[in-house]
Amino acid sequence: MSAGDGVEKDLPVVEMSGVGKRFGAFAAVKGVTFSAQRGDIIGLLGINGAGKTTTLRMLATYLIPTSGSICISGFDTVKEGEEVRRRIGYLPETPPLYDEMTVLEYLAFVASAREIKKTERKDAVESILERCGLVEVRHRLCRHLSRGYRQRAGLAQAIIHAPEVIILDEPTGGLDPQQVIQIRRLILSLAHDRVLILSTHILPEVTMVCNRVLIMHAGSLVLDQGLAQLTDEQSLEKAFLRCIGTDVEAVSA
Amino acid sequence: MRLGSLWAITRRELFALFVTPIAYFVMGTYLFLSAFFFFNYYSNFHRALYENAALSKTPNITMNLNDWVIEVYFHSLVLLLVFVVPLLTMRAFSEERKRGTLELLMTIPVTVRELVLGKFLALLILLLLMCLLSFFYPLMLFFWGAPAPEWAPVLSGAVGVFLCAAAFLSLALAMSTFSENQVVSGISSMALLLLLYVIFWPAQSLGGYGEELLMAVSPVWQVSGWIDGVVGLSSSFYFISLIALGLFSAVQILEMQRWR
Repeated sequence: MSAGDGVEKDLPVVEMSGVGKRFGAFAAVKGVTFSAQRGDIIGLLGINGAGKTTTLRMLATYLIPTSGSICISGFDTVKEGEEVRRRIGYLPETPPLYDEMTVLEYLAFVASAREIKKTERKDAVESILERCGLVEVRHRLCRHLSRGYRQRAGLAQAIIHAPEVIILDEPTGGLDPQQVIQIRRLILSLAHDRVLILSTHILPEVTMVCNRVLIMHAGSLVLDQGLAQLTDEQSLEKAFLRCIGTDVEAVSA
Repeated sequence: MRLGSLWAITRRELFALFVTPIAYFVMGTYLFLSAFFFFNYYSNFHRALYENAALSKTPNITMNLNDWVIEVYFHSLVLLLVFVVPLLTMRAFSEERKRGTLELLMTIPVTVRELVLGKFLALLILLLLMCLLSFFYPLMLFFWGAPAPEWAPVLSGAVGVFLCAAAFLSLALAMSTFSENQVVSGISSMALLLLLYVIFWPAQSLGGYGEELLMAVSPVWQVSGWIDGVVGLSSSFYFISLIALGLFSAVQILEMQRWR
């Protein structure tokens, strides 16, 4: 299905239908189905090995599903991959930085690779540097960036072109508490009128940033609920533990 | 194929090559070794010429700079390139894989074709620079050689060597898409190029069609036409086909990554 530009407000921006991914005999993702509208900030929760990264990679078109289909802004990720890539911003688990470039040079490269017009590039880079708190390290080589700055630079490349869908794989991984707060603030500021999907195994992150929860376990999507609705009924922790099959009473005692 | 995206990749790659020691190191190694070869061939020629002059009164007009120095030098460059080109290409895709930037490159609007061609062009520019500098040595003979060598075979030889280098580059680039380990990429592409270099060796003992086949696929055989001054359409097609094969393979292998 190819809706092209001008997707109406009520049509889902992201649609995953029966998506599965096998690596040989191993099924990393099984039958995942969900859709997301503008304004959704989705927290993809799951233990290590649940299939979160594989799901995000399929959304980002880095992997092709072995079954099912994914549509982003009306474009199929397999058949119209190029159109999809124009509309997404993706931050992999490891920030994809070029160590031999400075932050400024790196973002300038990303800006040109993401088809930002030459006349608008300089402004786009300047504004993203400010937005992500990278101004003081703009001339520093990526090799010499601390973990926190690396995440921020990785995030900067994912949002520099103001995409409709932002996909973040464990954006606060390995950061100290202060850096985590800074990244969360940044993510919250991005959320308006787009779809943001972030994966994590840190529960408080989801309650602080997201408005919708998806829990994956052993490759399957076991829970898909609005956060407000969920936390009305039970704590996120209990819901999560229940989903992964842990004896909730024994743990919370 | 959008020029803007292509140029973004090419420019970044050139940046990486010249900001890090890679370009200088490989270029320096290549130029040093080629200078050594040239010096060796010229010294032999010089000595042989004098010995010949000492022995007979009439000058040996068949001993000339083209045959004895320049041609044999160009042939040695082809062998040198078998080992130097993989040094350039081994990091091309292996490094991107290793540090996770391939995941970025494959999720942005740049197509895999533009990515492969962009890297190829950047490396080709560096290779062109290297070749031009190594052609400087035979060029010197035009100023100080008496009589000066024939320029036409030197020109065609230079073009032939560069074409061969480009073909090697394309094949080695394809080999670097397989592995995230630079050493594996380097060694496998060196092995491939070396195999291609020596493939005509068993030709004579095979005879008949086998001999013709091996000659036809051998870059040494195809480039020798250019070096002798006999420029052929079929050898041009040969090199262009190799370049196309390498680039096509690289694109396919990278696209296959999505399906793994």
